[in-house]
Amino acid sequence: MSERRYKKLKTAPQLKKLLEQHYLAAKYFHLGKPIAWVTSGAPVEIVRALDIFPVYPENYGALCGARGASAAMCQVAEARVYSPDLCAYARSSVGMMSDAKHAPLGGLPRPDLLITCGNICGTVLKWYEAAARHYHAPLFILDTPFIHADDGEPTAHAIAYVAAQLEELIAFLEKQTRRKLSKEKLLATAMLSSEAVSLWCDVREFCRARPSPLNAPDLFLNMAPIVTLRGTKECAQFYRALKEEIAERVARQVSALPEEKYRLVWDNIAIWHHLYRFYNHFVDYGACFVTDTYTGGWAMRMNDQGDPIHAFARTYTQVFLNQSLRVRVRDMADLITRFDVDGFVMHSNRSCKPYSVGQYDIRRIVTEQTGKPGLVIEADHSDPRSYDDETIRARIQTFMEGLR
Amino acid sequence: MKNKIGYLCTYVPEEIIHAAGFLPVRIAPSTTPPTRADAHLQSYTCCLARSCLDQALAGRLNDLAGVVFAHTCDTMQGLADIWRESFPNLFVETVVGPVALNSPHAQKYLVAELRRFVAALEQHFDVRVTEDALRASIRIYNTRRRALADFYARRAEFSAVQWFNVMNKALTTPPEAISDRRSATSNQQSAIENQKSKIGVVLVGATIDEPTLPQILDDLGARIVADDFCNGARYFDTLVAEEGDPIEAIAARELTRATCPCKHRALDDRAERLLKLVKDNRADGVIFYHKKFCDPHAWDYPPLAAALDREKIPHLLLEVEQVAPVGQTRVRVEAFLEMLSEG
Repeated sequence: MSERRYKKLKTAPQLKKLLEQHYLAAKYFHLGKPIAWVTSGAPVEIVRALDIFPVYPENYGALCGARGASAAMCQVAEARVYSPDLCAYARSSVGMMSDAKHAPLGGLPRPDLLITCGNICGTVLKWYEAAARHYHAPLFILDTPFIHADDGEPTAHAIAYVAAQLEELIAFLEKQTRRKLSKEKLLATAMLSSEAVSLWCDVREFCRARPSPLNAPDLFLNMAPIVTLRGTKECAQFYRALKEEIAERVARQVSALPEEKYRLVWDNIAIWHHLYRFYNHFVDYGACFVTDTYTGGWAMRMNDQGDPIHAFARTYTQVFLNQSLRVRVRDMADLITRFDVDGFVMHSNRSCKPYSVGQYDIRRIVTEQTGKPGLVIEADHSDPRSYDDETIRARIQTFMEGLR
Repeated sequence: MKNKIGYLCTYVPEEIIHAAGFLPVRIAPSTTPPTRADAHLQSYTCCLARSCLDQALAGRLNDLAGVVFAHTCDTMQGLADIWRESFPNLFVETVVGPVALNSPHAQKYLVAELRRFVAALEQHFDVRVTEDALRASIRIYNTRRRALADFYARRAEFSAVQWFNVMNKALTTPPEAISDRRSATSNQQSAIENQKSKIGVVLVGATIDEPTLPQILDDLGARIVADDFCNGARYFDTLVAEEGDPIEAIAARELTRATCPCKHRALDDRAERLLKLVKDNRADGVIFYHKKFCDPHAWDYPPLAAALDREKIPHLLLEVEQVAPVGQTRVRVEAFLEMLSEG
């Protein structure tokens, strides 16, 4: 892997330690807590409040990608007749299930429970069905109806449906754990979650500064706790430290890049297998990704009006990947204006159809609305086999020369 | 006024569209490679999405007053929004049905969503969808489903191409055109010889839209004894109850009909149904006829194949981009059938 060519964060060792501890605890020190595999968009606060230890196969997929282990794990799944066209996170996860010995960290711990939430994609349903068959673990499906409405508002019946399922999820988890959910503990967990989310929002907002204190890979790496540790004290603590560091960078006008000449927005999941190499192609031009649509996906603030179950239902139904193309256009145009950027780059991600299908139209409409050019790069979030560095470099060159 | 409304997936409630005064017609992929759709859809989306959008962009669907989607897979979800951007004046709606069909709250949710859809139709076209009209439409579509089931029960008398023609015609013609088995097969020239001695196969996939595979099966003397296609048996296997609230009844059918892999009712219900289809119809083997880049079917293939393996039922996977390549498909099907006849 190429080296990063921009300023390292002082909190980086803290982040590393936090995530190492998480995986270590998941594997060896979960202290009798049942293990639940959960999707990145699942209401983890409920899971934590019942003292269940959540583990994130998607995050593990990213980890496989970043460690260069994705292709090998995917091949294990492909040998078991899983199509190479399926999501590479899911494929590496399926590969890990049948060959944990050769998987990074010796594989994820075996799940006692599986909780899948459809607000991010249709793949997680099939992926968790495969896990349920493999491990014979009980599966809970939280069905969050997609929102096609222009204003991004879910219908009242969708909210009622999700809320009813959340009650059912609680009953399911109570039965599985033989514990009773404490409303106080749920609220305390939700508060910790909101605090971390709020701090993360602040960190992202700091990047409106010129020069930006962070570049995209910083955002990608630092979002891990918000996904995997949301609702814990350690998570909120980490983001307090990160916010402090970034605030200081902004105050001292410290730039993430040696020299920031261009500001860009990133769309879609990171290219984990070529994280530094890929973004260095932009650093060569002095182009910094000051914000993105991906790590903002977990920057939703909990709607704390009234009944907490309804607040959860609304928050988790409204996540950005559960929203229409028009909402995606609106959000992208908003980032372009607020972060004062010169253009945007969209990763057309073979592994992630809900994020990628519609990008060609989004690019066209956003450019029409904002006058800012957009570049589409064809790649994959974790399978390096569909990454062509030469072609990508040539496309970046053309795009960057056009910005001058 | 245009009187047709197009749809791509049979989860779209055709009775409601019909009761609003429109003829619901299935939009199927053509055999022409898409060109215009490339500006909107990535190369890793299925031909169903690309070819249907391409036909619309080429102006070949200009006779439609609207297009209605059902929430199924990630590609269709994106396609619905792309369609709306491409045709801003067209009525484009998605009925966002439940994914968790086994949820005790799915019926209530779906009923509310169907009522929202009714209201959207009424508002856009300034029409009224009455209960009486819904009941009449339910009866008409039930009649067609019964006729197709009846035709299916006697499919031994027909060739695979005839089966294909009947099924594909059914979803693009007025429902009254097919009211019994005879009308279903009216333009099928000659029922072929009794084929009881031939090898029987079950076909599984999303949709079947061009007759290459049926033609090959006919040429090689095999019969289709059952199928699990969206535009095949899954379409007519369950009727809508003709009593009670019509919207409740339409919702109940959607939740109980044979499961599409985009939905979940139980972990192994598709495998159980497939094994039952094989046993009940004394099939010799199964052919998976999959579209390239169709995630839900690709996901279900390993567990279905494993279930067949456990029962020692031979199977073959054909993955097709848009039109099955004749030579290659023929060679593979021939080898498979030879294996079946030896078994």
